[in-house]
Amino acid sequence: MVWLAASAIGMMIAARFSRREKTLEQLISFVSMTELEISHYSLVFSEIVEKAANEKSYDCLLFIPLCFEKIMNGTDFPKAWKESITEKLPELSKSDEKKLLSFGDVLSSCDKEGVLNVLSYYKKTFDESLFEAKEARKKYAKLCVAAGVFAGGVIFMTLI
Amino acid sequence: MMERFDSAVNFIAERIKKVLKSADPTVKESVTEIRLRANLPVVAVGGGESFMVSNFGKKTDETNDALVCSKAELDDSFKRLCNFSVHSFQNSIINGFITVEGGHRVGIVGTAVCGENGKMTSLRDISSLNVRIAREFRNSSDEIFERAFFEKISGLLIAGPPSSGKTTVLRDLSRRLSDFKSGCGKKVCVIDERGEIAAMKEKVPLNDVGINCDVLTGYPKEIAVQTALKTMSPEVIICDEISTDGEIDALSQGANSGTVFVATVHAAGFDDLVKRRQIEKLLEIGCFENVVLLEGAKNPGKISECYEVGEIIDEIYRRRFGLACGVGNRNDDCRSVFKA
Repeated sequence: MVWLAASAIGMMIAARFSRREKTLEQLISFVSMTELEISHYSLVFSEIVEKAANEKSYDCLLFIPLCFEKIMNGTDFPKAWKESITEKLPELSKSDEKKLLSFGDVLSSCDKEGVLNVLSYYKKTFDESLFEAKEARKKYAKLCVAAGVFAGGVIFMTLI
Repeated sequence: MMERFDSAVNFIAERIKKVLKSADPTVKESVTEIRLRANLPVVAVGGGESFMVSNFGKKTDETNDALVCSKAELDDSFKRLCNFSVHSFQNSIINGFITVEGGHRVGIVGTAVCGENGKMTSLRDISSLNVRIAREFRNSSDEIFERAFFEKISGLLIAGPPSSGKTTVLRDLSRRLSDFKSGCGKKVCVIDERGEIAAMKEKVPLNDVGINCDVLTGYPKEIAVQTALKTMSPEVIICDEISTDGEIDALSQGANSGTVFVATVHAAGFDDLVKRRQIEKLLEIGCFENVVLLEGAKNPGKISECYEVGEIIDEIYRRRFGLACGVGNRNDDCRSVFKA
């Protein structure tokens, strides 16, 4: 049991690396979708959030459907965005989380050119974060699983 | 009436919205405009006069009692007006207004940002918002109908100063012309460039523009007239505020199509009507047979006078050349002197 538990902990830590990578991939896709909708259709953000909430490909971004729900209940977009990210925090680094939180406030005041420039900047930084996440997964995921199994074994041996 | 007022102020910052929504019903019914200015009292316009709004939603003369809109509240109102997506309303902002749900037009002014060619590209430091409350008054076009259409439905130009009820009357005319039982059952196309006449929401007009009516929302008038004539076979085309040469040219293309045009134009009074070159050009294209001049903001929708187009053109030449062309007796020599 102890061995299994330690192995499971190791696997859980390894899975976090995968989830972070998947979250960033979906976030980049969301930012790209937003860029497209704004450059072609000038959609308002609440409509973009509604569209994304109905997409199955953003299953790691649980804050999006929550944000849409809050907007439908009358909360202003920037407030809804912040609250939903805080409540359904995605698997991200602190700096990426900070950027995501500022998304609503920053973008809601910009003209089209400004919005597209900011989105382009976000996409670039999330791309860099994704690269780091992939490297981290390659480096540490297997290590975590192995460490978990090893630690489990050591604890098991110690106990017996 | 109350719902109209409440829907018009929905976008305003919370504190001010609360006071306005709790205002006296008599104030709410009479108000046609609400002005928000940074760090200044909120001013309402009703019955042709402006007054400050107090912190309790009543009329006041005392600045100390007045409800003041702070800079932050003005910014907040502007962001809410744009649904927190300023980029979506960029063109509207450059044009100086955004139309909110219900067809209410909110005028926006501030500091213009111009490009290298001198063309305005953006607006910053928004300093004032002017909410014009759109009201639907059924039968407001009765007088116009009786005086301008008593023989037949023919081209009509409705002229008047700001807040004289031009759009309100146009809206009701559309309903009367296109409804079946209570109207004429005509095929009507409304060219609603600013979204104020029909106030479409999710494909459905919030204002009653009649049953047999097609609405072209947001189209530039030049394109809308062409589209309507080619695709919707309208018997009547209704459009608001003809002002540019391009729009006048677009109407002139429909002049001999057999379609009746009903349009509005700004004119402070009869003098303005006969002095403005734009109006002269509009009258000469042949789309209109009658011109109705509205009284003004104190009596919105009321007719001051009704003229035949020929009378106006005669007066124009008389004033310009001092020639006695005579009322309704157009002399081609007058015109050739003018063109020379």
